[in-house]
Amino acid sequence: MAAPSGGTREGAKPVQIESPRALIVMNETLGNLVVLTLQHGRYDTRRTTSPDDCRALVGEWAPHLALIDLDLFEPFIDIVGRGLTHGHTPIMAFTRRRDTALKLSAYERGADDILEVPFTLDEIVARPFALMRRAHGMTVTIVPKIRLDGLEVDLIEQRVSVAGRVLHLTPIQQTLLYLLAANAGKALSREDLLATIWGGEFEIESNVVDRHIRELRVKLNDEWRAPRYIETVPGAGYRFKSQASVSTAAE
Amino acid sequence: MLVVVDQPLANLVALTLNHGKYVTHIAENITRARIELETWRPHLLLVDLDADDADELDLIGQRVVNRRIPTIVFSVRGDLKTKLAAFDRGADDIITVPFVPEELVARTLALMRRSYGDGIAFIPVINVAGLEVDLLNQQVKVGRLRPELTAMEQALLYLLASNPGQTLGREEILDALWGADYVAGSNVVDRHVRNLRLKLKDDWRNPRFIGTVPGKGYRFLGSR
Repeated sequence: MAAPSGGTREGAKPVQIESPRALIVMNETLGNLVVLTLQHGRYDTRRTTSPDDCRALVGEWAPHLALIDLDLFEPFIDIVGRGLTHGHTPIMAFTRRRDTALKLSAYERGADDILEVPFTLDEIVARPFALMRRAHGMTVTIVPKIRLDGLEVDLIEQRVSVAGRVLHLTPIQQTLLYLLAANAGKALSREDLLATIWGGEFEIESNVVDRHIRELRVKLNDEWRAPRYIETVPGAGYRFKSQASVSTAAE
Repeated sequence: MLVVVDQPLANLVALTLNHGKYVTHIAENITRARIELETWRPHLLLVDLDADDADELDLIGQRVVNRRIPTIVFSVRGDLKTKLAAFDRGADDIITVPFVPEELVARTLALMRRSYGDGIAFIPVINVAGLEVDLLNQQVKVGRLRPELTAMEQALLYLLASNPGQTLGREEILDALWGADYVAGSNVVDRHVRNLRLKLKDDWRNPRFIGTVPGKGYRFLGSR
């Protein structure tokens, strides 16, 4: 299984010429979610937030696609755009702002698609699929099912199987599960979860995160007192238990 | 030109496209859409995709007299199957329902520029049912007032105003603006209507803009 957090370089499979390269310019929490979701297209991913690294990667690693958080790392659009030795690298930009002028100017500066945070996972699969096709004539193989620590997730059918038992998740529950799993072992605060999944602009009942966690746990058959997947970290938020910590706990 | 199954959505799209200089035709079914494609030859096609209807997929990227018509598809949140099928057929972009007006404006403008160069102007301020709405600054002009609206309030205003005289149920509004998987039993629609009325100085007992239809929902008063 591919490790969701930061493990894309080490332990990677032998070089697969077929696998498209995606460069991700985002902070860790959001970047991990995107990296995990891109496994549905067998992408080889690198994440960076350093301009020098980015320049080097664009020059030497020659990504097929760049995914950039426009709100935090806007200048990287130009860094990717200038590395023209390998032709045009399509850029998918992410923003939390609902600002038409900003979007139109980003399109003009070379963004090929602009996606709003919060997004649902299908967007991170479908839009890169379209960009890879448009820019490189490459049809990305879609892998509907991936495994997350004993859970088998089918993104096309929107269902998760636990030991042969099938549960149906809503798009928001699925995003919540991926976000937690992508940052396994790390506690994510309610604010983090709210900002990434619901966005700042929605008027939200304050306990919406807790309610969705509760529903997700019920579906996963996960007991909050002795959780197998999602644990509560008092005062800090929620944390996805990685496989390692689960087996340790069982000893 | 539009092909949208559901009328409130078609009206919302047609109203929002006034932020560019478009002429829109609404086709309520595929037969009608094919006739419009042949005879009217639009520059842009917007199709609401229902996952099970292969005929609608056939409309994507059609050629009319050797010209491929840029196509934007509407699809619901989370529906990866439909999105992949649409892109596979050559759809140029996808707008996920629910959407806010700003999203539709940005994506159509970007596609028009990509397809035809700098053809279509962006018109930030349009007249919505006697209200001047500024999409860039998210402001509405009501008499001497210029309240700022949140993106959701703006989306709600566009949805109601694009269907004047017609009662829209809470569920219908919830589905159109928040999506079907929003936590049920929430009074989020009523709260947004209340806030919007406050900002428009619209008295609920004697409303000028948004009327309550008891037991049913809300209705926009006056004409477009």
